[in-house]
Amino acid sequence: MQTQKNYDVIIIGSGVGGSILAAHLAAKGVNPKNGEQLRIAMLEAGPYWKGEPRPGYGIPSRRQLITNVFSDDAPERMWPWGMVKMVGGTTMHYGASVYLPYSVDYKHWVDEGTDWTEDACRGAAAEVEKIYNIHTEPDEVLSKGCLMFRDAARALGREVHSAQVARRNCIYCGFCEGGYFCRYDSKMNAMTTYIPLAEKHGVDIIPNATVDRVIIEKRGARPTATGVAFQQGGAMVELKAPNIIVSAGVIGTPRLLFMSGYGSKEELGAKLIVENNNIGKHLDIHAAIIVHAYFDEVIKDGSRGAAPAGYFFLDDAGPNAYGRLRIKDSGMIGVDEPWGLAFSPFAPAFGREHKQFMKQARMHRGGTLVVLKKPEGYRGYINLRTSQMEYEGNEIIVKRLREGGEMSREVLQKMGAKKIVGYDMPPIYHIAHGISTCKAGSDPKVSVVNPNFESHDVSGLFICDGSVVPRSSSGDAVGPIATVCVLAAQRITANHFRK
Amino acid sequence: MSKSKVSRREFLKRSGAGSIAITSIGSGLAYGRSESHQASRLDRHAMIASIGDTLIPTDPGDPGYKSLEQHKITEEVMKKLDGISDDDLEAFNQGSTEFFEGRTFLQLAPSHRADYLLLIIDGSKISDKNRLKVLQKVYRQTRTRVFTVFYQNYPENVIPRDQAGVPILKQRDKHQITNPNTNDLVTGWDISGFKAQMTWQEEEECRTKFQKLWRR
Repeated sequence: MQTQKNYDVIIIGSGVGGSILAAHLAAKGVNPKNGEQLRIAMLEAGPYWKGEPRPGYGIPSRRQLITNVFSDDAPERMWPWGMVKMVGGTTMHYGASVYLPYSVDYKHWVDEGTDWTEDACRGAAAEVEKIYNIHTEPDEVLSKGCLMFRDAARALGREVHSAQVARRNCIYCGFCEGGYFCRYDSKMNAMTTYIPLAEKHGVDIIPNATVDRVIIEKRGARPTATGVAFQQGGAMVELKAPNIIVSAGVIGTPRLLFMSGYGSKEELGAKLIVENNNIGKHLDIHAAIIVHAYFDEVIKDGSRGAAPAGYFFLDDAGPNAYGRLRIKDSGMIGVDEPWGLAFSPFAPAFGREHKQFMKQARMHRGGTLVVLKKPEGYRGYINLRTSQMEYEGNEIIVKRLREGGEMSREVLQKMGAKKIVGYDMPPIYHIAHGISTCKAGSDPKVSVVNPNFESHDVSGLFICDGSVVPRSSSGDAVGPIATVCVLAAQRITANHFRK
Repeated sequence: MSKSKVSRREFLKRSGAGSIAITSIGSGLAYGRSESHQASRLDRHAMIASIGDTLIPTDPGDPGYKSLEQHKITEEVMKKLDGISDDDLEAFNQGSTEFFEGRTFLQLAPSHRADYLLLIIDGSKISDKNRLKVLQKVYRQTRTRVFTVFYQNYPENVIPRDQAGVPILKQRDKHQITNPNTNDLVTGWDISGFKAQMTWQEEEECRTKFQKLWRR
C-alpha cells in the first residue's frame, strides 16, 4: 500500500458535479486554519485527454481520439475507453440538451425537504447558463420538420417552446443527440468548461484511479471520512484528506458508499461501519416513449443538422406540474444512423424495396420524444451489488405516456405524416435521467445528506452529484444537476473553506 | 435477374390457392445452381451468403450485399450467428422444397428465394408450428445481422489503431480525419447517404457558413 501526499479535499469523480466542485473550491476556497489555497485532488477512474478547448475546431489529440464510428460488435471503437469512465464523465456523451430547472422543479425540491428555492439557486442557475452557453438555435439552422412540428402544435393550441442546447461554435455535424462525443469541442461538457478552470487553479487531476472505498474511521461518537483507497496501475494507493466529496454519479456514488461500509445493516451485515437505509434508494427517473412518423415529403437532411435543437411543448395533467409531459420534435433533425434506420417500423422487410427505403428514408423519417416527469409516488432503487437500476413503474406512468403518445399522434397527423407508429405503445417504456439515490433532505430518516450537502452520518463527507437531487425536473438531467452542484460549491465553500 | 413475372404480393395471394399453384409458378424457373447441388449440412457460408443476397440484392449499377463478398462480408456476418445451428440452416434450406417443386433454398432463383422469405414471414402456409418457428428464427436473426453489418459500413467500418487503442492517422493527415469510409467501393453508408465524420473541407465550409451564429 502506497501513501501519497496529503490534500485538504479529495473529490471522487470528474463529471458534472466533480468538475464544478473542483473549479469552485480551487478558485474561491481557502484552508480555514491557515488561509492558504486549498490542496485539491480530483480522482477519475478513466483516462484524461487534456488540452485547452478550442470550440468549433477541437484540439488535435481529442480529434484523433474521437472517431464517432460505431459498430455493434465493437462499440468501444467509438471511444475505446468506455462511456462513463473518463475525465468529464457522462458530460462527454450526453445529448447537449440542457434545461435549467423550472420554477415548479425548485418547489418540488423544497417539498422533498431541502431549502433549494428558486431564489437560493438563482445565482447557480445563471452561472450554469453562462458557462455551458445554454441557448436556443435560430430557425435558419433547423429542419423543415422542426418548423412543421412547431406550426402544427401551435395550430392545435399548444404553447410551443424552443429547445435549449449547450454548445459553443457548433458546426452542426448532427451527431449530438445520438450520444456521441464532440470532435470539435463544441458540445459543452466538463472538459470544455470547469476542468480547465480547476487545473488553472491548481487542482491535481488523477486519472485512471479506481476508487475502492472512502476510508471511514470511528473517532469518538461520530464516524469521520479520512481519505480514499484506490487502485492505480495495479497498485493500491491511499490518499488522506479531512474532506471527501463524492461525485461519482447516480449509480457510482451509492455503490462506492456501500463498498465503504456506509449503508443499510440488512445489506452490509458485518461490513457495516455507518448505517443509513437511504443509500441507493429513492431512485427517481424520467419515463419516455418514442413515436415514429414517416412523411411523403422531405423534412430534413438526415445526415447533418442542429439536433437536439428544435421545438417542444409541455402538458400537465394537474396543478403543480402533476404528470408533466415534454413532447419534443426529436427525429426531425440530425443524423439518422443507417444501422438503426434499416430496422425502422416503416422499412419493408427486405429486398429492393428495403434498399430503396434506405436510399431515401433518412430525409422522410421523423417523430417525437415523449418524456414524463413522473408523478410523485413509487420510486426505484440501485442494486448495490450489481449496480443496476431497478424500477418497476406503475399504471399512472403508462397512462400518462399513452396520453403523450396520443398528443404526438395528433401533431404528427396535422403535419401530414403518412404513417405513425408507437403512440399507442404497450406498457413498455424507456427510463432515463436517474437521480436521488443519495437523496438530500433535512430529515436523516429519509435522506443521506442535508441541504448543505454534508453527510448526515459521517463528518468530513460530502455528496454532490445527481444522486442528491431529490426529484426529477421538467427538462433533462444535466441542467438541474449542474445547478445543484454550483449551489453545493457555493455552500461548501462558505461553510467550510473560508478563513 | 429473375425471369418471374409474379410479384411478391401476387405470390402471397396465389399461395392462398394452395401449394399446387405455387408449384406451377415455380415450374421451369430453376435458376443458377445445378439440380444436383445439395446444401452440405456444414455449408453455412453458402446459405448465409444466399440469404444476404436476397435481403440486399445487387443489380447492375446498384451494388448490394453480394458486391461485398470479395471483402468477405459473409464471414463477418457469420461471426455472430451462433444462435443458428447447422440443423436450423438445413431446415431452412429444405423448407422450400414443399412449395417450390422440391427445390431447396439454394436451388431457387433469386425471385423465388424472396418469395420463400415472404412465405416464412407470413407463416400461414406452414402448418408445422415448430418448423415455422425455426424458419422464422433463421430469417430474423440473419436479417438482423446482415443489415447491421452492411449498414454499419462493412468493410470500411474499422479504424486502424495502435496498441493503446489510439487511431492511426493517414500519412500527411493534418486534421485528424478518421472517417474510414472511402470512395473506393459502395457500402451501406454510401447507399443510405450517411456522411459520417466531416472532411476538413466540409468543416471549413460549415465554419464559414455558421460563424455568424456563434455566441461568445
